[in-house]
Amino acid sequence: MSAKATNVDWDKSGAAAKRKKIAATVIVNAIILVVSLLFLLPLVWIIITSMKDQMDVLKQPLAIIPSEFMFVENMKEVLRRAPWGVFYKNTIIVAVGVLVAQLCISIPAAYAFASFKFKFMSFFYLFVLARLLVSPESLLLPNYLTINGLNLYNTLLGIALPSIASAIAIIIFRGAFLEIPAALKDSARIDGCGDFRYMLVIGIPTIKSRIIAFSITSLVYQWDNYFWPMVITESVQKRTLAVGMAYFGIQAESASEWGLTMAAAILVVLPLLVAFVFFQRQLVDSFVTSGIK
Amino acid sequence: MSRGSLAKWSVKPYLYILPMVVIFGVFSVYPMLRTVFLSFMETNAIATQMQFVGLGNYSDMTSDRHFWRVVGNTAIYGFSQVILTLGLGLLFAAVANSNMVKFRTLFRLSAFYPYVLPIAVAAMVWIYLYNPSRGAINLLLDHRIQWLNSYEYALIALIIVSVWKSLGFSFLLILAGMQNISKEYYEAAALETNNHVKRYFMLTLPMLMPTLFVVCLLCVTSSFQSMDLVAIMTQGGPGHSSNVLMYYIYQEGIINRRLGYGSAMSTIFLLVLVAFTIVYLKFGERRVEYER
Repeated sequence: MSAKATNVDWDKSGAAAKRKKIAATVIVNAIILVVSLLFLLPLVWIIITSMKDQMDVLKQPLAIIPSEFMFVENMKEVLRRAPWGVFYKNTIIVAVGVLVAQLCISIPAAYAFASFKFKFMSFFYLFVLARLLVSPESLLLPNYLTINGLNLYNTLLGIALPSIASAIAIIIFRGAFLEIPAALKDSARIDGCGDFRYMLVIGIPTIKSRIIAFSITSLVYQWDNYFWPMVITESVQKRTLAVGMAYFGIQAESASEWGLTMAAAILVVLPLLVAFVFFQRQLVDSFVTSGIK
Repeated sequence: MSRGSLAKWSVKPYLYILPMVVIFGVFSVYPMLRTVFLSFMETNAIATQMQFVGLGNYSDMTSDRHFWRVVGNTAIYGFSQVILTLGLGLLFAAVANSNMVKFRTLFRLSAFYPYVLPIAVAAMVWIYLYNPSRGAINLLLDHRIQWLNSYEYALIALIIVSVWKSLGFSFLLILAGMQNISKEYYEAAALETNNHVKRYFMLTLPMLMPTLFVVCLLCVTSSFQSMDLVAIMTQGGPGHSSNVLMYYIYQEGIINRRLGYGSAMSTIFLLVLVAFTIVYLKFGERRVEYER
Protein backbone atom coordinates (compact mmCIF):
# COMPACT_ATOMS: atom_id res chain seq x y z
CA MET A 1 0.00 0.00 0.00
CA SER A 2 2.60 2.48 1.11
CA ALA A 3 5.21 0.63 -0.90
CA LYS A 4 5.88 3.50 -3.26
CA ALA A 5 6.93 5.94 -0.55
CA THR A 6 9.58 3.63 0.86
CA ASN A 7 10.44 1.92 -2.34
CA VAL A 8 14.08 1.11 -1.58
CA ASP A 9 13.49 -0.27 1.89
CA TRP A 10 10.64 -2.33 0.68
CA ASP A 11 12.72 -3.89 -2.08
CA LYS A 12 15.45 -4.93 0.32
CA SER A 13 13.27 -6.39 3.02
CA GLY A 14 10.99 -7.74 0.30
CA ALA A 15 13.79 -9.76 -1.25
CA ALA A 16 14.84 -11.09 2.15
CA ALA A 17 11.27 -11.93 3.03
CA LYS A 18 10.85 -13.57 -0.32
CA ARG A 19 13.94 -15.70 0.19
CA LYS A 20 12.75 -16.59 3.66
CA LYS A 21 9.38 -17.51 2.28
CA ILE A 22 10.88 -19.73 -0.40
CA ALA A 23 13.03 -21.49 2.19
CA ALA A 24 10.02 -21.99 4.42
CA THR A 25 8.01 -23.32 1.51
CA VAL A 26 10.70 -25.82 0.61
CA ILE A 27 11.08 -27.02 4.20
CA VAL A 28 7.35 -27.32 4.79
CA ASN A 29 6.86 -29.17 1.53
CA ALA A 30 9.74 -31.52 2.25
CA ILE A 31 8.23 -32.36 5.63
CA ILE A 32 4.85 -32.90 4.04
CA LEU A 33 6.30 -35.18 1.42
CA VAL A 34 8.04 -37.27 4.08
CA VAL A 35 4.91 -37.49 6.19
CA SER A 36 2.83 -38.47 3.16
CA LEU A 37 5.29 -41.20 2.29
CA LEU A 38 5.29 -42.48 5.88
CA PHE A 39 1.51 -42.72 5.79
CA LEU A 40 1.66 -44.42 2.41
CA LEU A 41 4.31 -46.91 3.54
CA PRO A 42 1.88 -49.66 4.62
CA LEU A 43 0.03 -49.48 1.29
CA VAL A 44 3.26 -49.41 -0.69
CA TRP A 45 4.50 -52.34 1.38
CA ILE A 46 1.38 -54.34 0.58
CA ILE A 47 1.91 -53.75 -3.14
CA ILE A 48 5.66 -54.43 -3.17
CA THR A 49 5.44 -57.52 -0.97
CA SER A 50 2.58 -58.99 -2.96
CA MET A 51 4.98 -59.28 -5.90
CA LYS A 52 7.78 -61.02 -4.01
CA ASP A 53 8.39 -64.73 -3.89
CA GLN A 54 9.18 -66.53 -0.64
CA MET A 55 12.96 -66.30 -1.15
CA ASP A 56 12.78 -62.52 -1.52
CA VAL A 57 10.54 -62.23 1.53
CA LEU A 58 13.03 -64.18 3.62
CA LYS A 59 16.32 -62.97 2.18
CA GLN A 60 15.70 -59.38 1.12
CA PRO A 61 12.80 -58.08 3.13
CA LEU A 62 13.69 -54.46 2.41
CA ALA A 63 14.16 -54.78 -1.36
CA ILE A 64 11.86 -52.42 -3.19
CA ILE A 65 12.06 -54.21 -6.50
CA PRO A 66 11.48 -57.95 -6.31
CA SER A 67 14.04 -60.16 -8.03
CA GLU A 68 11.19 -61.74 -9.92
CA PHE A 69 7.64 -60.49 -10.29
CA MET A 70 5.57 -63.17 -8.68
CA PHE A 71 2.28 -61.34 -8.30
CA VAL A 72 0.30 -63.67 -10.56
CA GLU A 73 1.78 -66.81 -8.99
CA ASN A 74 1.13 -65.46 -5.49
CA MET A 75 -2.42 -64.63 -6.38
CA LYS A 76 -2.99 -68.10 -7.83
CA GLU A 77 -1.73 -69.69 -4.63
CA VAL A 78 -3.91 -67.38 -2.52
CA LEU A 79 -6.98 -68.27 -4.57
CA ARG A 80 -6.13 -71.96 -4.29
CA ARG A 81 -5.89 -71.91 -0.50
CA ALA A 82 -9.18 -70.29 0.45
CA PRO A 83 -12.62 -69.86 -1.15
CA TRP A 84 -12.32 -66.14 -1.85
CA GLY A 85 -15.28 -66.24 -4.20
CA VAL A 86 -17.44 -67.35 -1.29
CA PHE A 87 -15.98 -64.63 0.94
CA TYR A 88 -16.72 -62.06 -1.75
CA LYS A 89 -20.24 -63.30 -2.22
CA ASN A 90 -20.91 -63.33 1.54
CA THR A 91 -19.52 -59.83 1.98
CA ILE A 92 -21.58 -58.44 -0.88
CA ILE A 93 -24.76 -60.14 0.35
CA VAL A 94 -24.25 -58.85 3.87
CA ALA A 95 -23.21 -55.33 2.85
CA VAL A 96 -25.98 -54.85 0.29
CA GLY A 97 -28.56 -56.59 2.46
CA VAL A 98 -27.72 -54.41 5.45
CA LEU A 99 -27.83 -51.28 3.32
CA VAL A 100 -31.19 -52.08 1.74
CA ALA A 101 -32.69 -52.95 5.11
CA GLN A 102 -31.23 -49.79 6.67
CA LEU A 103 -32.77 -47.65 3.94
CA CYS A 104 -36.16 -49.38 4.08
CA ILE A 105 -36.31 -48.89 7.82
CA SER A 106 -34.76 -45.49 8.26
CA ILE A 107 -36.32 -43.53 5.38
CA PRO A 108 -39.94 -43.99 6.51
CA ALA A 109 -38.94 -43.48 10.14
CA ALA A 110 -37.03 -40.31 9.29
CA TYR A 111 -39.95 -39.14 7.21
CA ALA A 112 -42.34 -39.70 10.11
CA PHE A 113 -40.08 -37.85 12.55
CA ALA A 114 -39.78 -34.97 10.09
CA SER A 115 -43.38 -34.54 8.99
CA PHE A 116 -45.80 -35.95 11.54
CA LYS A 117 -46.58 -34.99 15.08
CA PHE A 118 -47.62 -37.95 17.15
CA LYS A 119 -47.83 -39.12 20.71
CA PHE A 120 -44.61 -40.48 22.17
CA MET A 121 -42.65 -39.08 19.23
CA SER A 122 -39.80 -37.91 21.41
CA PHE A 123 -39.87 -41.19 23.28
CA PHE A 124 -39.35 -43.08 20.03
CA TYR A 125 -36.72 -40.63 18.91
CA LEU A 126 -34.91 -41.45 22.12
CA PHE A 127 -34.77 -45.04 20.83
CA VAL A 128 -32.75 -43.75 17.92
CA LEU A 129 -30.50 -41.49 19.93
CA ALA A 130 -29.72 -44.24 22.42
CA ARG A 131 -27.91 -46.04 19.62
CA LEU A 132 -26.03 -42.96 18.43
CA LEU A 133 -22.67 -43.46 20.10
CA VAL A 134 -23.21 -47.08 21.09
CA SER A 135 -21.91 -49.41 18.40
CA PRO A 136 -23.31 -52.91 17.93
CA GLU A 137 -19.98 -54.21 19.23
CA SER A 138 -20.71 -52.79 22.66
CA LEU A 139 -23.84 -54.90 22.78
CA LEU A 140 -21.82 -57.98 21.90
CA LEU A 141 -23.00 -60.30 24.67
CA PRO A 142 -26.77 -59.73 24.47
CA ASN A 143 -26.68 -59.64 20.66
CA TYR A 144 -24.77 -62.91 20.71
CA LEU A 145 -27.52 -64.42 22.86
CA THR A 146 -30.28 -62.98 20.67
CA ILE A 147 -28.76 -64.31 17.47
CA ASN A 148 -28.21 -67.71 19.08
CA GLY A 149 -31.76 -67.64 20.41
CA LEU A 150 -33.09 -66.99 16.91
CA ASN A 151 -31.03 -69.95 15.68
CA LEU A 152 -29.05 -67.65 13.43
CA TYR A 153 -25.56 -68.49 14.68
CA ASN A 154 -23.23 -69.08 11.74
CA THR A 155 -25.58 -67.50 9.18
CA LEU A 156 -25.26 -64.41 7.03
CA LEU A 157 -28.49 -63.08 8.49
CA GLY A 158 -26.92 -63.35 11.91
CA ILE A 159 -24.00 -61.24 10.73
CA ALA A 160 -26.29 -58.64 9.19
CA LEU A 161 -29.12 -58.15 11.69
CA PRO A 162 -27.44 -56.19 14.51
CA SER A 163 -25.99 -53.53 12.21
CA ILE A 164 -29.31 -52.77 10.53
CA ALA A 165 -30.31 -50.45 13.36
CA SER A 166 -28.58 -47.27 12.23
CA ALA A 167 -29.21 -44.12 14.20
CA ILE A 168 -27.12 -41.91 11.98
CA ALA A 169 -29.18 -42.77 8.88
CA ILE A 170 -32.38 -41.66 10.59
CA ILE A 171 -30.79 -38.49 11.92
CA ILE A 172 -29.31 -37.52 8.55
CA PHE A 173 -32.46 -38.29 6.56
CA ARG A 174 -34.70 -36.53 9.07
CA GLY A 175 -32.57 -33.42 8.71
CA ALA A 176 -32.76 -33.70 4.94
CA PHE A 177 -36.55 -34.11 4.94
CA LEU A 178 -36.88 -31.07 7.20
CA GLU A 179 -34.93 -29.02 4.67
CA ILE A 180 -37.44 -29.62 1.89
CA PRO A 181 -39.30 -26.32 1.39
CA ALA A 182 -42.86 -26.36 2.68
CA ALA A 183 -44.10 -24.92 -0.62
CA LEU A 184 -43.08 -28.09 -2.44
CA LYS A 185 -45.04 -30.18 -0.03
CA ASP A 186 -48.10 -27.95 -0.17
CA SER A 187 -48.24 -28.01 -3.95
CA ALA A 188 -48.00 -31.81 -3.88
CA ARG A 189 -50.85 -31.86 -1.38
CA ILE A 190 -53.03 -29.78 -3.67
CA ASP A 191 -52.37 -32.27 -6.45
CA GLY A 192 -53.81 -34.92 -4.17
CA CYS A 193 -50.53 -36.63 -3.37
CA GLY A 194 -50.73 -38.76 -0.21
CA ASP A 195 -47.95 -38.97 2.34
CA PHE A 196 -46.54 -42.29 1.23
CA ARG A 197 -46.51 -41.33 -2.44
CA TYR A 198 -45.08 -37.97 -1.57
CA MET A 199 -42.24 -39.66 0.33
CA LEU A 200 -41.48 -41.99 -2.56
CA VAL A 201 -41.92 -39.65 -5.51
CA ILE A 202 -40.76 -36.30 -4.14
CA GLY A 203 -39.06 -36.90 -0.81
CA ILE A 204 -36.57 -39.60 -1.76
CA PRO A 205 -35.35 -37.97 -5.01
CA THR A 206 -34.95 -34.67 -3.18
CA ILE A 207 -32.72 -36.12 -0.48
CA LYS A 208 -30.92 -38.40 -2.93
CA SER A 209 -27.47 -36.97 -2.30
CA ARG A 210 -27.69 -37.70 1.43
CA ILE A 211 -28.93 -41.21 0.74
CA ILE A 212 -25.97 -41.84 -1.54
CA ALA A 213 -23.56 -40.38 1.00
CA PHE A 214 -24.93 -42.61 3.73
CA SER A 215 -24.92 -45.65 1.44
CA ILE A 216 -21.23 -45.25 0.67
CA THR A 217 -20.27 -45.09 4.33
CA SER A 218 -22.50 -48.03 5.14
CA LEU A 219 -21.01 -50.21 2.41
CA VAL A 220 -17.45 -49.33 3.40
CA TYR A 221 -18.28 -50.04 7.02
CA GLN A 222 -19.61 -53.51 6.23
CA TRP A 223 -16.66 -54.29 3.98
CA ASP A 224 -14.45 -53.37 6.90
CA ASN A 225 -16.48 -54.99 9.67
CA TYR A 226 -14.46 -57.71 11.32
CA PHE A 227 -15.26 -58.45 14.93
CA TRP A 228 -18.94 -59.31 14.93
CA PRO A 229 -18.78 -61.50 11.78
CA MET A 230 -15.82 -63.30 13.38
CA VAL A 231 -17.67 -63.93 16.63
CA ILE A 232 -20.95 -65.05 15.09
CA THR A 233 -19.64 -67.46 12.43
CA GLU A 234 -17.60 -70.62 12.64
CA SER A 235 -17.54 -72.33 9.25
CA VAL A 236 -15.31 -71.20 6.40
CA GLN A 237 -18.31 -71.04 4.09
CA LYS A 238 -19.89 -68.25 6.16
CA ARG A 239 -16.85 -66.00 6.41
CA THR A 240 -16.81 -62.49 5.04
CA LEU A 241 -13.75 -61.03 3.34
CA ALA A 242 -12.48 -59.37 6.52
CA VAL A 243 -12.75 -62.56 8.55
CA GLY A 244 -11.32 -64.69 5.74
CA MET A 245 -8.45 -62.24 5.40
CA ALA A 246 -7.62 -62.34 9.10
CA TYR A 247 -7.66 -66.15 9.24
CA PHE A 248 -5.63 -66.43 6.06
CA GLY A 249 -3.13 -63.86 7.25
CA ILE A 250 -2.64 -65.36 10.69
CA GLN A 251 -2.05 -68.77 9.16
CA ALA A 252 0.36 -67.49 6.51
CA GLU A 253 2.13 -65.37 9.11
CA SER A 254 3.24 -68.40 11.09
CA ALA A 255 5.06 -69.57 7.96
CA SER A 256 6.30 -66.02 7.19
CA GLU A 257 4.48 -66.18 3.86
CA TRP A 258 4.19 -62.44 3.58
CA GLY A 259 4.04 -62.38 -0.20
CA LEU A 260 0.89 -64.46 -0.11
CA THR A 261 -0.65 -62.50 2.76
CA MET A 262 -0.14 -59.23 0.95
CA ALA A 263 -1.51 -60.64 -2.30
CA ALA A 264 -4.61 -61.65 -0.33
CA ALA A 265 -4.76 -58.14 1.10
CA ILE A 266 -4.86 -56.74 -2.43
CA LEU A 267 -7.73 -59.07 -3.22
CA VAL A 268 -9.69 -57.60 -0.31
CA VAL A 269 -8.79 -53.97 -0.89
CA LEU A 270 -9.09 -53.87 -4.66
CA PRO A 271 -12.77 -52.87 -4.94
CA LEU A 272 -12.28 -50.15 -2.34
CA LEU A 273 -9.15 -48.92 -4.04
CA VAL A 274 -10.88 -48.75 -7.41
CA ALA A 275 -13.82 -46.92 -5.84
CA PHE A 276 -11.40 -44.61 -4.10
CA VAL A 277 -9.61 -43.70 -7.33
CA PHE A 278 -12.80 -43.06 -9.27
CA PHE A 279 -15.04 -41.55 -6.63
CA GLN A 280 -12.48 -39.95 -4.35
CA ARG A 281 -14.32 -36.67 -3.99
CA GLN A 282 -17.70 -38.28 -3.35
CA LEU A 283 -16.23 -40.79 -0.96
CA VAL A 284 -14.53 -38.12 1.10
CA ASP A 285 -17.65 -35.95 1.08
CA SER A 286 -19.87 -38.77 2.26
CA PHE A 287 -17.66 -39.45 5.25
CA VAL A 288 -17.80 -35.79 6.14
CA THR A 289 -21.58 -35.71 5.71
CA SER A 290 -22.27 -38.83 7.67
CA GLY A 291 -20.01 -37.78 10.50
CA ILE A 292 -20.28 -41.11 12.22
CA LYS A 293 -19.63 -44.43 10.62
CA MET B 1 -64.30 -45.75 11.02
CA SER B 2 -64.35 -42.40 9.36
CA ARG B 3 -61.26 -40.42 8.42
CA GLY B 4 -62.20 -37.67 10.81
CA SER B 5 -61.94 -39.87 13.88
CA LEU B 6 -58.43 -40.88 12.88
CA ALA B 7 -57.19 -37.34 12.51
CA LYS B 8 -56.45 -36.91 16.20
CA TRP B 9 -54.89 -40.27 16.90
CA SER B 10 -53.75 -41.52 13.55
CA VAL B 11 -52.01 -44.87 13.21
CA LYS B 12 -50.18 -43.63 10.15
CA PRO B 13 -47.05 -42.23 11.83
CA TYR B 14 -46.69 -45.43 13.83
CA LEU B 15 -46.77 -47.52 10.68
CA TYR B 16 -43.88 -45.46 9.34
CA ILE B 17 -41.77 -46.01 12.40
CA LEU B 18 -42.87 -49.57 13.13
CA PRO B 19 -39.99 -51.37 11.34
CA MET B 20 -37.51 -49.07 13.02
CA VAL B 21 -39.06 -49.60 16.44
CA VAL B 22 -38.89 -53.36 15.99
CA ILE B 23 -35.28 -53.49 14.84
CA PHE B 24 -34.08 -50.86 17.32
CA GLY B 25 -36.07 -52.54 20.03
CA VAL B 26 -34.53 -55.94 19.40
CA PHE B 27 -30.96 -54.87 18.61
CA SER B 28 -30.46 -51.72 20.60
CA VAL B 29 -32.84 -51.11 23.50
CA TYR B 30 -33.49 -54.72 24.52
CA PRO B 31 -29.78 -55.64 24.48
CA MET B 32 -28.99 -52.70 26.73
CA LEU B 33 -31.68 -53.72 29.22
CA ARG B 34 -30.69 -57.37 28.99
CA THR B 35 -27.08 -56.49 29.72
CA VAL B 36 -28.13 -54.77 32.94
CA PHE B 37 -30.40 -57.69 33.85
CA LEU B 38 -27.75 -60.33 33.22
CA SER B 39 -25.21 -58.41 35.24
CA PHE B 40 -27.07 -59.48 38.40
CA MET B 41 -27.09 -63.13 37.37
CA GLU B 42 -24.92 -66.16 37.31
CA THR B 43 -25.73 -68.01 34.08
CA ASN B 44 -24.72 -70.83 31.80
CA ALA B 45 -23.10 -70.09 28.43
CA ILE B 46 -26.28 -69.23 26.57
CA ALA B 47 -28.27 -67.78 29.47
CA THR B 48 -30.94 -70.47 29.51
CA GLN B 49 -30.37 -71.10 33.20
CA MET B 50 -29.62 -68.38 35.67
CA GLN B 51 -29.48 -67.51 39.29
CA PHE B 52 -29.72 -64.14 40.97
CA VAL B 53 -26.44 -63.15 42.60
CA GLY B 54 -27.14 -59.51 43.40
CA LEU B 55 -24.07 -57.37 43.11
CA GLY B 56 -21.78 -60.39 43.13
CA ASN B 57 -20.49 -59.78 39.61
CA TYR B 58 -19.78 -56.18 40.45
CA SER B 59 -17.83 -57.07 43.53
CA ASP B 60 -15.85 -59.60 41.46
CA MET B 61 -14.79 -56.70 39.30
CA THR B 62 -13.22 -54.80 42.15
CA SER B 63 -10.93 -57.71 42.98
CA ASP B 64 -10.09 -58.65 39.36
CA ARG B 65 -6.72 -57.12 38.71
CA HIS B 66 -6.91 -57.92 35.00
CA PHE B 67 -10.05 -55.84 34.87
CA TRP B 68 -8.29 -52.81 36.28
CA ARG B 69 -5.35 -53.29 33.99
CA VAL B 70 -7.72 -53.47 31.03
CA VAL B 71 -9.67 -50.40 32.13
CA GLY B 72 -6.39 -48.50 32.43
CA ASN B 73 -5.35 -49.66 28.97
CA THR B 74 -8.69 -48.62 27.50
CA ALA B 75 -8.32 -45.17 29.02
CA ILE B 76 -4.74 -44.85 27.74
CA TYR B 77 -5.80 -46.13 24.35
CA GLY B 78 -8.80 -43.80 24.11
CA PHE B 79 -7.19 -40.64 25.38
CA SER B 80 -3.88 -40.97 23.60
CA GLN B 81 -5.87 -41.60 20.47
CA VAL B 82 -7.94 -38.46 20.98
CA ILE B 83 -4.97 -36.27 21.76
CA LEU B 84 -2.95 -37.58 18.83
CA THR B 85 -5.72 -37.62 16.23
CA LEU B 86 -6.96 -34.20 17.27
CA GLY B 87 -3.50 -32.68 17.49
CA LEU B 88 -2.27 -34.20 14.25
CA GLY B 89 -5.66 -33.62 12.63
CA LEU B 90 -5.42 -29.91 13.42
CA LEU B 91 -1.87 -29.74 12.19
CA PHE B 92 -2.60 -31.66 9.00
CA ALA B 93 -5.70 -29.62 8.28
CA ALA B 94 -3.79 -26.37 8.78
CA VAL B 95 -1.09 -27.61 6.42
CA ALA B 96 -3.54 -28.87 3.80
CA ASN B 97 -5.38 -25.57 3.95
CA SER B 98 -2.31 -23.39 3.53
CA ASN B 99 -1.41 -22.18 0.07
CA MET B 100 2.26 -22.99 0.57
CA VAL B 101 1.70 -26.67 0.03
CA LYS B 102 2.45 -28.25 -3.31
CA PHE B 103 1.37 -31.86 -2.96
CA ARG B 104 -1.99 -31.17 -1.43
CA THR B 105 -3.82 -34.03 -3.14
CA LEU B 106 -1.12 -36.58 -2.37
CA PHE B 107 -1.06 -35.38 1.21
CA ARG B 108 -4.83 -35.54 1.64
CA LEU B 109 -5.09 -38.96 0.06
CA SER B 110 -2.23 -40.46 2.02
CA ALA B 111 -3.70 -39.24 5.29
CA PHE B 112 -7.22 -40.38 4.44
CA TYR B 113 -6.83 -43.78 2.77
CA PRO B 114 -6.05 -45.69 6.00
CA TYR B 115 -9.51 -44.77 7.21
CA VAL B 116 -11.17 -46.77 4.44
CA LEU B 117 -8.60 -49.57 4.40
CA PRO B 118 -10.28 -52.67 5.85
CA ILE B 119 -9.09 -53.26 9.38
CA ALA B 120 -8.12 -56.87 8.71
CA VAL B 121 -5.82 -55.73 5.91
CA ALA B 122 -4.39 -52.88 7.97
CA ALA B 123 -3.76 -55.24 10.87
CA MET B 124 -1.97 -57.79 8.64
CA VAL B 125 0.35 -55.31 7.00
CA TRP B 126 1.24 -53.79 10.36
CA ILE B 127 1.90 -57.22 11.83
CA TYR B 128 4.37 -57.59 8.99
CA LEU B 129 5.87 -54.14 9.47
CA TYR B 130 6.23 -54.84 13.20
CA ASN B 131 7.76 -58.28 12.68
CA PRO B 132 10.85 -58.40 14.93
CA SER B 133 13.23 -59.96 12.42
CA ARG B 134 11.82 -59.24 8.95
CA GLY B 135 9.61 -56.23 9.54
CA ALA B 136 10.48 -53.01 7.76
CA ILE B 137 10.32 -50.93 10.94
CA ASN B 138 12.97 -52.86 12.84
CA LEU B 139 15.13 -53.18 9.74
CA LEU B 140 14.97 -49.43 9.11
CA LEU B 141 15.56 -48.59 12.77
CA ASP B 142 18.25 -51.28 12.95
CA HIS B 143 16.76 -52.57 16.20
CA ARG B 144 15.18 -55.79 17.34
CA ILE B 145 12.15 -54.43 19.16
CA GLN B 146 9.47 -56.99 20.03
CA TRP B 147 6.67 -54.63 19.06
CA LEU B 148 3.72 -56.91 19.55
CA ASN B 149 5.22 -59.45 21.95
CA SER B 150 6.49 -57.31 24.77
CA TYR B 151 4.83 -55.72 27.75
CA GLU B 152 6.39 -52.34 27.04
CA TYR B 153 5.55 -51.98 23.37
CA ALA B 154 2.38 -53.93 22.55
CA LEU B 155 -0.07 -51.21 23.57
CA ILE B 156 2.03 -48.47 21.99
CA ALA B 157 2.23 -50.46 18.78
CA LEU B 158 -1.56 -50.76 18.69
CA ILE B 159 -2.01 -47.06 19.40
CA ILE B 160 0.28 -46.16 16.50
CA VAL B 161 -1.76 -48.27 14.09
CA SER B 162 -5.01 -46.97 15.47
CA VAL B 163 -3.94 -43.33 15.13
CA TRP B 164 -2.62 -43.95 11.62
CA LYS B 165 -5.93 -45.56 10.75
CA SER B 166 -8.34 -43.03 12.21
CA LEU B 167 -6.43 -39.80 11.70
CA GLY B 168 -7.94 -39.33 8.25
CA PHE B 169 -11.39 -39.00 9.74
CA SER B 170 -10.64 -36.18 12.18
CA PHE B 171 -8.40 -34.56 9.58
CA LEU B 172 -11.25 -34.45 7.08
CA LEU B 173 -13.83 -33.16 9.53
CA ILE B 174 -11.47 -30.47 10.79
CA LEU B 175 -10.57 -29.49 7.25
CA ALA B 176 -14.25 -29.24 6.36
CA GLY B 177 -14.77 -27.16 9.49
CA MET B 178 -11.95 -24.81 8.49
CA GLN B 179 -13.32 -24.36 5.02
CA ASN B 180 -16.71 -23.50 6.49
CA ILE B 181 -15.33 -20.46 8.26
CA SER B 182 -16.50 -17.44 6.33
CA LYS B 183 -13.92 -15.53 4.29
CA GLU B 184 -15.22 -12.30 5.78
CA TYR B 185 -13.78 -13.17 9.16
CA TYR B 186 -10.38 -13.60 7.59
CA GLU B 187 -10.66 -10.31 5.76
CA ALA B 188 -11.52 -8.64 9.04
CA ALA B 189 -8.66 -10.39 10.80
CA ALA B 190 -6.26 -9.38 8.03
CA LEU B 191 -6.76 -5.78 9.09
CA GLU B 192 -5.62 -6.70 12.59
CA THR B 193 -2.58 -8.83 11.88
CA ASN B 194 -0.59 -10.29 9.06
CA ASN B 195 0.82 -13.04 11.19
CA HIS B 196 -0.68 -16.32 10.05
CA VAL B 197 0.11 -18.15 13.25
CA LYS B 198 -1.46 -15.44 15.33
CA ARG B 199 -4.49 -15.38 13.06
CA TYR B 200 -4.81 -19.13 13.43
CA PHE B 201 -4.98 -18.93 17.21
CA MET B 202 -7.11 -15.78 17.23
CA LEU B 203 -9.68 -16.80 14.67
CA THR B 204 -9.44 -20.28 13.19
CA LEU B 205 -9.05 -22.27 16.37
CA PRO B 206 -11.90 -20.62 18.30
CA MET B 207 -14.17 -20.99 15.28
CA LEU B 208 -13.27 -24.67 15.08
CA MET B 209 -14.22 -25.44 18.67
CA PRO B 210 -17.66 -26.90 17.87
CA THR B 211 -16.10 -29.20 15.27
CA LEU B 212 -13.34 -30.23 17.63
CA PHE B 213 -15.87 -30.99 20.32
CA VAL B 214 -17.75 -33.40 18.08
CA VAL B 215 -14.62 -34.99 16.64
CA CYS B 216 -13.29 -35.45 20.16
CA LEU B 217 -16.43 -37.25 21.33
CA LEU B 218 -16.56 -39.46 18.26
CA CYS B 219 -12.90 -40.37 18.68
CA VAL B 220 -13.25 -41.27 22.35
CA THR B 221 -16.37 -43.35 21.97
CA SER B 222 -15.29 -45.13 18.82
CA SER B 223 -11.85 -45.94 20.20
CA PHE B 224 -13.36 -47.24 23.44
CA GLN B 225 -15.48 -49.58 21.37
CA SER B 226 -12.91 -50.78 18.89
CA MET B 227 -11.30 -54.11 19.50
CA ASP B 228 -10.64 -55.35 15.97
CA LEU B 229 -6.99 -54.38 16.02
CA VAL B 230 -6.51 -55.95 19.42
CA ALA B 231 -8.32 -59.09 18.30
CA ILE B 232 -6.17 -59.60 15.21
CA MET B 233 -2.81 -58.22 16.29
CA THR B 234 -2.25 -59.21 19.91
CA GLN B 235 -5.39 -60.86 21.37
CA GLY B 236 -4.76 -58.57 24.30
CA GLY B 237 -1.38 -60.06 25.03
CA PRO B 238 1.24 -60.55 26.20
CA GLY B 239 -0.49 -61.02 29.55
CA HIS B 240 -3.17 -58.38 29.40
CA SER B 241 -0.67 -55.67 28.51
CA SER B 242 -2.47 -54.62 25.33
CA ASN B 243 -5.98 -55.71 26.21
CA VAL B 244 -8.90 -53.28 26.10
CA LEU B 245 -12.21 -53.51 27.90
CA MET B 246 -14.37 -54.55 24.93
CA TYR B 247 -12.07 -57.41 24.06
CA TYR B 248 -11.81 -58.47 27.69
CA ILE B 249 -15.61 -58.54 27.87
CA TYR B 250 -15.60 -60.82 24.84
CA GLN B 251 -12.96 -63.07 26.39
CA GLU B 252 -14.74 -63.34 29.73
CA GLY B 253 -18.34 -63.32 28.50
CA ILE B 254 -18.11 -65.58 25.46
CA ILE B 255 -14.83 -67.50 25.51
CA ASN B 256 -14.73 -68.12 29.29
CA ARG B 257 -18.53 -68.37 29.43
CA ARG B 258 -18.91 -65.89 32.27
CA LEU B 259 -21.90 -64.05 30.85
CA GLY B 260 -22.94 -62.48 34.12
CA TYR B 261 -19.49 -61.10 34.77
CA GLY B 262 -19.14 -59.91 31.18
CA SER B 263 -22.54 -58.22 31.45
CA ALA B 264 -21.56 -56.45 34.65
CA MET B 265 -18.50 -55.02 32.91
CA SER B 266 -20.64 -54.13 29.87
CA THR B 267 -23.12 -52.34 32.11
CA ILE B 268 -20.43 -50.10 33.54
CA PHE B 269 -19.15 -49.52 30.04
CA LEU B 270 -22.62 -48.71 28.69
CA LEU B 271 -23.12 -46.19 31.49
CA VAL B 272 -19.95 -44.43 30.36
CA LEU B 273 -21.17 -44.44 26.74
CA VAL B 274 -24.59 -43.16 27.78
CA ALA B 275 -22.92 -40.34 29.70
CA PHE B 276 -20.95 -39.43 26.58
CA THR B 277 -24.11 -39.62 24.48
CA ILE B 278 -25.94 -37.26 26.81
CA VAL B 279 -23.09 -34.78 26.66
CA TYR B 280 -23.06 -35.11 22.89
CA LEU B 281 -26.80 -34.55 22.55
CA LYS B 282 -26.76 -31.64 24.92
CA PHE B 283 -23.94 -29.76 23.27
CA GLY B 284 -23.30 -31.35 19.93
CA GLU B 285 -26.51 -32.40 18.24
CA ARG B 286 -26.93 -29.22 16.26
CA ARG B 287 -23.44 -29.72 14.91
CA VAL B 288 -23.93 -33.31 13.83
CA GLU B 289 -24.17 -32.35 10.19
CA TYR B 290 -21.33 -30.68 8.48
CA GLU B 291 -22.52 -30.24 4.98
CA ARG B 292 -21.96 -26.63 3.90
